[in-house]
Amino acid sequence: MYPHERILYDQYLGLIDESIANHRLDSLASLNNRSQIEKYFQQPALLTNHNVTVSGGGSFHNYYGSVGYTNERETDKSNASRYNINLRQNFTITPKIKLDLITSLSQEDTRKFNMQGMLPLNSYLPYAMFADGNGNGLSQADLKMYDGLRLPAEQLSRINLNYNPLDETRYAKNNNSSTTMARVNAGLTINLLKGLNFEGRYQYQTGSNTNYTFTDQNNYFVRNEVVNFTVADPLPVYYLPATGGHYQTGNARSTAWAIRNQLTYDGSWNNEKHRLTILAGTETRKDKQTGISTYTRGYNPQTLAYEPYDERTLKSNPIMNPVIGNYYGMSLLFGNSMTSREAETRFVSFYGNMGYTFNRKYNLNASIRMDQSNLFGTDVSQQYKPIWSMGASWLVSNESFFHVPQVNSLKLRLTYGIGGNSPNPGSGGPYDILSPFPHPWYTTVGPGYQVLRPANDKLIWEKTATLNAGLDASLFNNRIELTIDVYDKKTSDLLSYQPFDVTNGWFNGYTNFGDLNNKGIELSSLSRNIVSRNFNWSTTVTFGSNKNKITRLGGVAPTSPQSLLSAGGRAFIEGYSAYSLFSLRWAGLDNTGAPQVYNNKGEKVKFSGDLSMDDVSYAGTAQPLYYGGITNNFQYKRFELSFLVIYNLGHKMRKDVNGFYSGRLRQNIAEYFENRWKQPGDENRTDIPAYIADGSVSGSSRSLDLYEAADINIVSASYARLRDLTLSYRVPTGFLRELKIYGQVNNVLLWTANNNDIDPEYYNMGQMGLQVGSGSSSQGLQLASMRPNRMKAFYTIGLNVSFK
Amino acid sequence: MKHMTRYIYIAASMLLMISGCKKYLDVKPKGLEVPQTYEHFNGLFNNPNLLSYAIFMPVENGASAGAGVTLPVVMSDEVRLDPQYSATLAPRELNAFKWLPDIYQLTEQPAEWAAFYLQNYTFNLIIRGVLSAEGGTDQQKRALLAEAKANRALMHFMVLNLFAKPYNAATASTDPGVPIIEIPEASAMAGARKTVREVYDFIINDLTQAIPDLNERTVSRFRISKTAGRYMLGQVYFMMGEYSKALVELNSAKSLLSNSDVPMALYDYNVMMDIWAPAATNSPGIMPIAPDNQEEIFQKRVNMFGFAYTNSVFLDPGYESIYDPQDQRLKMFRDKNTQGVAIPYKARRSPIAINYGPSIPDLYLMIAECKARTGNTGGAITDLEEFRNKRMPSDVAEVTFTDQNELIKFIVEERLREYACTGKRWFDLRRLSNDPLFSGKTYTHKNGTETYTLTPDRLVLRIPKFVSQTNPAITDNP
Repeated sequence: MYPHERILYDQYLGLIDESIANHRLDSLASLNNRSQIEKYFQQPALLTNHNVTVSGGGSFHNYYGSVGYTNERETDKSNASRYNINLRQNFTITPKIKLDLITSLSQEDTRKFNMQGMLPLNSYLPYAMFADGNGNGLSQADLKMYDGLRLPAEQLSRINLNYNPLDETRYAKNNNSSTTMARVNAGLTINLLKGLNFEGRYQYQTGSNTNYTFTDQNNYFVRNEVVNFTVADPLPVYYLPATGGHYQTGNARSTAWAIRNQLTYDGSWNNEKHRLTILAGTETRKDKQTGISTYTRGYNPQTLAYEPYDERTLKSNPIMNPVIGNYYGMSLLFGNSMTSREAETRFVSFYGNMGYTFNRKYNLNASIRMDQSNLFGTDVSQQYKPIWSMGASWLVSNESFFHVPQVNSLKLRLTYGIGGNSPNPGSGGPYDILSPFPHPWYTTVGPGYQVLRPANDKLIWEKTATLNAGLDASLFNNRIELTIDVYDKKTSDLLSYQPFDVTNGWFNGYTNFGDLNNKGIELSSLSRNIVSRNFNWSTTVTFGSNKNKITRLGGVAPTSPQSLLSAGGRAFIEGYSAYSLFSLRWAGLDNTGAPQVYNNKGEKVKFSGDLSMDDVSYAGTAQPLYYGGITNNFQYKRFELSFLVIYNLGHKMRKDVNGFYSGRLRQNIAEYFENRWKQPGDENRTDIPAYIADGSVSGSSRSLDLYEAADINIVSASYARLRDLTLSYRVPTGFLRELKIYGQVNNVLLWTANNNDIDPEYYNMGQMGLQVGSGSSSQGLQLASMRPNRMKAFYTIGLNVSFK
Repeated sequence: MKHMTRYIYIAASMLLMISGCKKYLDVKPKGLEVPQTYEHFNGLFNNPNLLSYAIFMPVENGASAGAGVTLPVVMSDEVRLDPQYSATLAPRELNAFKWLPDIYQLTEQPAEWAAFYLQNYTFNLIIRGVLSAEGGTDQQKRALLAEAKANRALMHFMVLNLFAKPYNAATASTDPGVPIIEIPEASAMAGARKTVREVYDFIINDLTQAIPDLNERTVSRFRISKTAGRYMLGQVYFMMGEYSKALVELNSAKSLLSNSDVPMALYDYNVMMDIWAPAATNSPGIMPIAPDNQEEIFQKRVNMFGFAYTNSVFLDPGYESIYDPQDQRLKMFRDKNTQGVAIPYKARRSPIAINYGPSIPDLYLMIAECKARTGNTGGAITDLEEFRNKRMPSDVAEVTFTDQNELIKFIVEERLREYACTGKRWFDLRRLSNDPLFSGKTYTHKNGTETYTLTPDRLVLRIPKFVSQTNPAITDNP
C-alpha cells in the first residue's frame, strides 16, 4: 500500500478525520524528488572524442592511419569507452596491379548502471523521497509490498524485505561488457586488357563480446526471490540459496567473411562516339553468430563458487505454500540456467550491369541481379528470381540545337525496373518449422517439439515495379545545381505477418497480403547564392512528397472498428494510405463523465461494442506528406556558420492522452488529469473522462477507448526543427596545416503545429495508451502514460589540428 | 594471348563458384527443424502447449500462454458469484455467467474456440506426414498416426460440444456443427460449419480407425494409449446418449487400465484428504498435479488457478445439500481465504487444474450410468459403491435405490458431487437437455441480488465475432 493510499484508507476506516488526512496528503504533495533523482540516479551526459590521423607514402606504397578514443557518459549513469585503430594501405605493385589493405581493430568497454525493478524515473511518484537531509537512504518498502504482508513474511522467512533505493544502488546489477572487433579488408585490381579490369574484394571480420552481471545477495530482487522459495515449517526451509548473489555471464562471437569478384570493362571508340561499360560479378557472404550465456544463483564472487539447488524440481513442480508465492500462491522457478545460440546466414549473389553511350548524348543501361540465401525452410524455386532494371538518359545540353546560355548542362533520365523481396528465410515457406520444447514431464516419451511457424506454400516474392523519371541540371554558370525525380512504385504481393483464420490453427502468419502504390517527387538543389573572396553563402534544399495507397488487400481485412482504431496507425484498408489513422466523432462526456461518440446516424454511443465500421472515419495519414531539409552555409573570412532545418508536414497523429482513469494511482501522471470530469455539469467544461476507482465498474460502465480514438485527440503532426547550428573558426598559424575550433548546438528550435507540447519526432505511437478490447481488469491496471522527455538540445565543442 | 589466358582462367573460376552454390547454401540452422523424422513427429506430441485447453503462442524455446477454456466453469448451474468478489473475473467470464448471447469482446481471442483449433493443426501435420517420416518402424509410425487421429477427434468433440446444439438424433443432420479441419493449411480460410451429424461421424470414424493402432500400454499420462482411445470413443457415444454402445467401449477401457507404466487407480480420499488438506489449512492446490495424479489416464487440463486462488466463483449454497457432511470431497472447498478470513460461500480450492481428458473417476461414473440406463441397476450400484467408498466413509457410501430412474438421477448427481465448480457439469447440462428424465428443469444463476435464467439457446455458445469477422462463412448460432 502506497503512503497516499494508506492515508485515504485510514480516513475511510475512520482512524483519522478529514482534516488530518488532508494535512497528511498536503505534506506528501509538498515533496518533490526530482532533484534527488538527478543527484542519485543520473549524471550529466558527456561525450569526448579524440582522433589522430596520419598519412603519407610514395608512388609504390601509401598509407592513411587513424587512432581514436571516445568516452561516453550517459544520463542514466552508464559509461562507455571505445578505442579504435585503422590503417589503410595502397600498393601499386605494377602499373597494372594494385592492392589495398584496410585493417582495423576496436575495443569497447561499457558499464551499465541498472536499477532492477525500479519504476521509470520520469513517472516516479514525486513524493517518494530517496534520502533524508543527511543523505542517508530512505526506505520505500511501501512501494514494493504492503507491510501487512511484508512483516509476517520477514518473520517467517527471516529475510529482510526492506527496500531502500539508495542502498540498492550498491547492490544493483552492474552490467560490464567488453567487445573486441577486428577486420581485414583487401582489394585487388588487375588491369587485364585495355579497359578490362578484374576487381576483387575480400573481407574477414571477427568479434567477440564477454559480459557479466552480478546482483548482490542484498539486492531486493535476490532477497525477494529467496522468500518466494522459502517454506516456513515453522523454521524457514530455503529451496534456493539464501547466501550469494545472481551471476549472469555471456559470451558471444561473430565471424563474417565476404568475397566479391567482378570484371569491368570500360571502352570507347570512334573518338568517344561509342562508349561501353560492362560489369559482371559474384558476391559470396557468410555470417555466423554464436553465443552462450549462463545464470547462476548463490554465487560468491570472492570464493568463485556457488551453492547448488534443485533446478529440475523447482521448475517442474511448484513449491506449495511458500512464504510469498510467485505463481498463484505457489512458487515456480522460471528462466534458463544456460542458453546457447548459433545462427548462420549465407548469401550468394550474381550481378551484371551494362551501359552504352552514343555520341556522348544518348545513354542506355541495364542491370540484373540475383540473390540467394540459405535454403532452410524455403524452396529453390523461390530463390532464383532475378531483379532487373533498364534505363535511358539523354544529355540534352550536348545537342547542337541546344543554345540556352543560362543552362550549363541538362540531362533527362528514365528508368524502369523490377525489384523484389524474397520471403525471409525461416519465417515462412513450404515447410513447417519446428523448435525444440523440452519439459521435464516428458522425459520418458522423448524430446518435445512445437510448430514454431506454419508452412505457407503459397508464398511468393514481393515485387516492386518502379518507374522513375528524372532531370539533372546546372544553371547560371553552375551557380545552381538541380535534381528532380518523379517516381511511381507499384508493389505487389506485400509480405508481412498478417491475421489468419484461427479455425485453421493460427492467429497469424507470414503471408502475401496486398498491393501498394507509392507515388512521389524528390527534389534537391544546391545554390551558391553569393560567391566572393571573403564572403560565401550557399543553400541546399531538399524536398520530397510521397503518397501511398493500398490498392488491393487480400487475406483478412479489418472488420471491426477496433481494428481500425488501434494505436499503431497500421490498419491497412483498401483505398487508403498504408499509414492511415481513423477516428470517431466526439460527442462529449455524458453526465457521469463517460466518453461518448456519434455513430453514422448522429446518435450518441457510449460503448465501443455498439459501433460498426460505418461509424469510423478517416482522419489523415501518419506519414508526412511533405518532408525535407534546408541547409545554409555562410563563410566570412576564417569564420563559417551553417545550420540545418528539417521539416515534416501534412501528417496527423493521435494525442498521447493520459490513459489512467481507474484503479490505483501508483505513479506520476500527466497534470491535466486534474481537469477531468468530477461532478455532473463538468461535461460542459471538459472532455477528460472521470476517474472511477473500481476497475470492473470502470470497465463495464464505459468505453475509454472512445475518448482515446476520438477526433478531438487527432492533431497535426507537422513540425520543423532547427536540427543543428555550427560555428567554426580557422585559427591562423604558421607551423600547422590547419587549426580549427568549432562549436555545435543540436536540436536548437522546434516549431510544431500541435498546441499540446508534443514533439512529433520523439513521439512514440506504440506507447500510446489505446488498448482495444481490453477488459475491465486490464483497463483498471492500465498505467498512466507519461510523455517521454523532449529531444534535448546538446552542445559540442571541437578542435581539429592538422600538422604539415 | 597472354591476357586471354588470364581472362579464361578468371571466367572459369567464376563458373566453378556458381556450380558449388547450392551446396554452400544448403545449411541447416541449429535449433530449428522441419518435420522429417520419426523423432520429430513423436516429439510433436510431447509439447507442453498441448497439455492444457488454453490459447498458446509458440516462440523459440517456449511459448506464451493466453486465456484458458474457463467458460464451462462459470456457465455450470451449481456456481454463483458475489459482486464483492468478481473483480478478478474476465469480462467474458462475467458475460458467460449471465448466459448472455454475446460473450467475447470484439477483438478478444476466444479461448473456447481457438484452444482446440490451435492444437488441431499439430495433429493434422502429423497425420499428413508421419507415414513418410525417416526412421521408426511402420508399426511405430502407424501408432503415431492413430494417436494424432484420436487427438484430432477429441479437439472436434470439445469444440462441437461448446458451439453446437447438444446431439439430438432427430435433428443432428440439420443442426449446424463446427468446421471440420483435416488438412494443415494455415493461410487458407476454413470451410463452413458441417452438421452435428457430420462432425460426430468424423469423430467416430477417426477414433474407430485409430484404436487398433494405438499403443497397447499407457506410457505417460500425456500420451493417448488404447485405454484412452476406447475411453474417448465411449465418451462420444455417452455424450450422444447411445449408452449401450458407450458401455462396450468404456468397459473395454476399464479392462485395459492395468496396461500401464504409470500407476492407474482411484485415490482413497478417506486416507488422502488428511494428507492433502489438513484441517488447519485453507491453502489451495492440495492434490497431486499433472504427471503424478494416478486418477488421470490422459491429461487435457483446464487451469483453475484463477478460481482456486481468488475466491471468485462459489458453490451455490442451494447445492451444498447434495453432499453428505462426511463426504471427503467437501474438503476440496473452503469457506475462508488463505489468510483465514471468511468468504461469503464455499469456493473450490482444489485441484488447481482440472483434467477434462480421460480420467478414472469419470470412467466409473460413466459406466455406472450406462449400466443403469441399460437396465443393469445391480451392476451400476456395485460400481457406484466401489467408487463412493473411495470418496467417503463406507457407512455413508451405500446406494439403496431400486427405481431405475431414481438411480440414474442419483448417478448424475454423483457426477456433480465429484465435479462441482469445475465446469464438467456444463457438458452434463447439455447432454441431459434432451433427456425426458431431466426435462422441465430451470437453471438459474445468482450474483448478489441479480438472478439469471438459462434459456435453451444458451446451451450453445455463439460463434465469437473474432472468428466470424475473419471468416464470414462460419455462420452464427441463434
